[in-house]
Amino acid sequence: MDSVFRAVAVYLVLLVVTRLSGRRTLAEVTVFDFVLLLIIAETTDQALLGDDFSVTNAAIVIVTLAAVDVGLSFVKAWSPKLAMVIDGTPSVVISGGVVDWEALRRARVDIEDVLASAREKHGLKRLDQIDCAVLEVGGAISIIPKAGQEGGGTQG
Amino acid sequence: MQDEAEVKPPVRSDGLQLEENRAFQRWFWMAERIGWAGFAVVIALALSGVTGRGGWLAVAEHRSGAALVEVPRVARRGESTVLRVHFGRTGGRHLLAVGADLLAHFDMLEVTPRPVRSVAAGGGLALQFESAGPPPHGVRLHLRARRAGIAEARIVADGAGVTVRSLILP
Repeated sequence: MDSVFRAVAVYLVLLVVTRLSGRRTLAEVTVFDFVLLLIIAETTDQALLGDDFSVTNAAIVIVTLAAVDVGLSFVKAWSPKLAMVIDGTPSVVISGGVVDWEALRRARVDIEDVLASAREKHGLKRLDQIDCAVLEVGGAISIIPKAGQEGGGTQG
Repeated sequence: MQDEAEVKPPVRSDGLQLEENRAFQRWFWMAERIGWAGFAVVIALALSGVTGRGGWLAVAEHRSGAALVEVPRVARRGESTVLRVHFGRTGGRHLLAVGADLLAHFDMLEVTPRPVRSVAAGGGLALQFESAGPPPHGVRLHLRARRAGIAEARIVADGAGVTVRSLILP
């Protein structure tokens, strides 16, 4: 019984903390972000298992975590509003070539991150070559280049 | 079942087909910042000792006659903690009685110094200690919180009683 409560509590705490930490945290995973993830995993390990290192306990915790996750996916499918709260919505940070500075600031995304994404994914050199940029729910930045700007970014 | 028109996100004026919902985002950005303030509050509470294990609010002091009883205000289930009693009376044997409710919430791991006599009394424990030299004479009860809740117990040190409370966090 205790294992189930532990697993549900840890799941909910991680869900709330990661959601409130914002998408920016995992937008660009640095080496330190990776180390931080490992530390969080190690910290939750003890809270999940307590002092019971039996296979039974581990199985109960794993099954509970998976069940809560599946249950939450059903709840999200049933209630789009709740899904929006849990997953968030994409943020359009550049629309029609116009930068939405408020969205960038509030989502803690630097214009440098947008430019880096434009360079990496489309070989774009400048901001004025970007038509739209979207900070996706998963933390990635999608870039849509202006017509004729795709590929190498040598034009303009 | 939702029909296809309901499921499809609308096409915006810039050509992007996505549901951005800026009003919700503004609300969430605000909630996010309140959440960060909540993180700061949690850290401040932890540093102050309200969540147990150290900090200036971690221990409550109770005067019980000539003795001083130091009780952890907050303990954590499964973790060890210490209850200290400083007897103020000079010389002789000291008597310490611990109420049943404390033992219902805590396992007693060790008592330092070892009592010369221990008696089960009314669900609780009565302990007797030898002492020498000038007071205070300190006794430490090493406890481990067994279950979450509020442990409220009567502690009697050299005949003077005091009621102590300890919150046990899950």
